Amino acid sequence: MNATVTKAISAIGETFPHGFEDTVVFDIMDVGQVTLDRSGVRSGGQSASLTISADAETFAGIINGKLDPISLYLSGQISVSGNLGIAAKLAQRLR
Amino acid sequence: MIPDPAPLHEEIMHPAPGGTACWLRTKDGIRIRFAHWRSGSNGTILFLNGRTEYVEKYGLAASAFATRGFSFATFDWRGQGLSETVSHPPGICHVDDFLDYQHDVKAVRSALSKLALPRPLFLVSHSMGGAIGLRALHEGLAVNAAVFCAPMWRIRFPPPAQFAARVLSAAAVRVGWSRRFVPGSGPSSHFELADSETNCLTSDAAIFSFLGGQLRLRPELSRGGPSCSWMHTAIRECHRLMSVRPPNLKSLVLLGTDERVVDPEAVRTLCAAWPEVELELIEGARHELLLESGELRQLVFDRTADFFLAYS
Repeated sequence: MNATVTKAISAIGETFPHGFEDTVVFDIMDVGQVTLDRSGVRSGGQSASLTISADAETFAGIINGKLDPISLYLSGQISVSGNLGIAAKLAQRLR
Repeated sequence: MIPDPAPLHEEIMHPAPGGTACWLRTKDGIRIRFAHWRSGSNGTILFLNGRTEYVEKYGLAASAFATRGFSFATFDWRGQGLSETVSHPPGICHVDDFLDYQHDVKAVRSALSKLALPRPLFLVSHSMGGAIGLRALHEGLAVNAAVFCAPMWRIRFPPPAQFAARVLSAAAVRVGWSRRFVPGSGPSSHFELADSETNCLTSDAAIFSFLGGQLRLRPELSRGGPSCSWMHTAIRECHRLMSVRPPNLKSLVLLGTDERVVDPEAVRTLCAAWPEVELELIEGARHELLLESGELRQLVFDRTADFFLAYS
């Protein structure tokens, strides 16, 4: 597995040790996909209620809490497809 | 989604027409402050302010355009107002490259769509904003029409200084002085250095003292001179803008007859090469057309609103 994906899985796992109530796919540009759902976090994508796309550096900033995901979304640095309510809930948890 | 709120100092704005501010993050990682007033359905005016300026300075404009049926959006450029700033020396207006400002425009353009501000979109720019705005149009910023107030298409220096500024700022950057004040300038703002009579910004003494008062109450918003790399890359960018064909867009250029900050000759030259442009002189106005005395600024607001309504 790609090293960036492995790192992302462990970082997301630390932030969401009990998983997340909805299915979210993190689409790391040019690297791969990571899925977060009730059962936890794993490599690979699937059909999700929310898909967030960004580059690896931006994701790192979001997961470690240094970058505010909503500012990034408004500024066009990340793209979001699916349920924006879930995105807002996720952003809350990342603060 | 609720944006990450940013401070908006309504206590120093008069009038304070009820805007909201939030943080944006540019592609190169700079945090900038964006403010908007959802106050009219004729469309949204994106306003690009000038060097040293900040959102609160344009509460009056937000309110004037609101009464004419327009929503209004503006922001602090990187290094200005409450946007992310290099801290040393304090009061400096610094960018490594003048083109970096394009990242700010792109982040703001995205926010206008995401926040679903009323369409169509119009562009108003002032001074330095006029150079950045013109570049943004060249790069594909889509608006229905644009108004340029005293655009900085060449900085006004006395003729011998024009050459000196160009050569010295280039040399300063080469020897590693990018982040130092341009020689002869410092952290003090024009409001500390000039008075209501001698200042080159507005002939309205009350407005001049109001703006100075804003900075005394919120000194963190104040900026002084530019950095050497700002000067070097701004001169270079103006030169480039003057040498390309202007964009295919209905535009109105407003210029005061008492302009002393930007070079009126450059404005005339570019306008002469621009078939879709109207150039209008504002008799007796200094540099800050949107903050001139009552009658003059009403004229500027009316002219701008009428121009946009014709292209909405």
